[in-house]
Amino acid sequence: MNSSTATRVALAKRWIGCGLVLFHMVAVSIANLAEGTKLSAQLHRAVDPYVRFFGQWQEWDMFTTVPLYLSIEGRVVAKLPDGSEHEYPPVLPGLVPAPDNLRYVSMFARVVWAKRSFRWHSERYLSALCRAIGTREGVKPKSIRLEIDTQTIRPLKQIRQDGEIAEARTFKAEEVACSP
Amino acid sequence: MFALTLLGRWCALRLKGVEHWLMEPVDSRAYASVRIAFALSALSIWLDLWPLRLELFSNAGNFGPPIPQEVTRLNLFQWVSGTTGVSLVFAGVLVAIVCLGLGFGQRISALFVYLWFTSYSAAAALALGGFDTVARLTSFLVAVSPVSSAWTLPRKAEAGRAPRYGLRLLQWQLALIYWITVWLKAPDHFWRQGEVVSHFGVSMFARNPNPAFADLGVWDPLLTWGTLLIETLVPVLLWKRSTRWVGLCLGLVLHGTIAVLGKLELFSLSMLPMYLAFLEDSDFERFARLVNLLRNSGSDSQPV
Repeated sequence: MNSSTATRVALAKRWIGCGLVLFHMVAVSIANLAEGTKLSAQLHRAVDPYVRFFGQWQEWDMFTTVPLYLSIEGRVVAKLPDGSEHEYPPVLPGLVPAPDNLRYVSMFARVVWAKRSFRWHSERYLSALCRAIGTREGVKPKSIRLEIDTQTIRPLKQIRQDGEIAEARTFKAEEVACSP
Repeated sequence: MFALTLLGRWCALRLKGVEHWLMEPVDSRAYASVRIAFALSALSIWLDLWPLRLELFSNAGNFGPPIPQEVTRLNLFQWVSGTTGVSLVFAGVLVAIVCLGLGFGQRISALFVYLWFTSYSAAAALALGGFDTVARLTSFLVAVSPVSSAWTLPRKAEAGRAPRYGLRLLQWQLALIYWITVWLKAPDHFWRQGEVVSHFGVSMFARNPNPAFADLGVWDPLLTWGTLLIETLVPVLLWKRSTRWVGLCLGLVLHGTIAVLGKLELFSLSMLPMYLAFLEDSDFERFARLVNLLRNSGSDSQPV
């Protein structure tokens, strides 16, 4: 390869590099466009394969409103074939209580107030719980649901009055049938 | 014809400008500082995930055995889901993180760490925090950035030069994070009213939730709106050489406060590498002068 060809190849490589970098910048910017706007559907379709495959999906909706809870604890309620209801701790393996980690708080909240994008993962989690409870009880439950016990933060005015930060509230996810 | 030639020249000039903006050789210590800071944040996340690895990623855990997911996502745990296999993957990632921090086999270590981040994000999406997303995106950008010979343990090399594109990608990502979050927060009633800091202080995200936070008075709106202001300004301040240190200090105050008062120290740590992507030759020189000054003043004050 003579020197002018080598220079041309180097230049071409440089420009391809520039193109890839600019494409990445555009793709991650589009990944942040809210779905549902008029432009977003076409734009998302153009970059989604790249964004998904290379793990560039992103959402920066943390603290888009105030935090509402002082604590969140999950438990599973299973309805057995005889109609009785039993409670279990929500973590596998072993149906044990959840460790003190914000990851579990997010997980329970996402299952109960499941956004569309988490449905696939929620179903996997609930199926695994059905199997584990079935193994423990010797019979597969008819259905299960996740419940979360929260300490829900009271209005600031009330906290100022009596110093009590939160009050107990329980939320229930919709019941799902355990497949036979 | 003349107009066309003029337009062609103008376009060529702009393109040259873009090429310079992305490919200009820069001090490779910037890449080294990003790499080391990223290794530290990845190590912190690894420590957080290690006790949960079997619950979140093994076939005996919360999500059961892997089922064919969308094949459009890289996910190592689709193929390795036994309890021993998951532990081995985690052990391997720990080695890769340490190697990356020390500068051994940087490219291969960075690729393996990136594969881990994108895999666990795909496998346990329900149990992720914002810091996982920041670290996953950073891991990709570190993996595709030029390898830096500066600040490595294998040899103490002179700081070389490397094309700027990796730093530009990190800078762009940081700006997106802050501006998108401000865009999403600004219409919210509580952000507008200036009542977010008080709610944060009594929530599960606070290190020590205390009713005193409900009574912050005028500090509540000042701190709430101040947060939005910092998040809006930091990318601009970091971008300009003359205001870079102001941007760094404001970011440090913001994330330092979040890490001290909240349980979100992993988020603060994971943002650090993106801040370091703004550093240039002059910043390193200034920092070296400062260190020398401190060292000399320390030795001057020693008793003779």
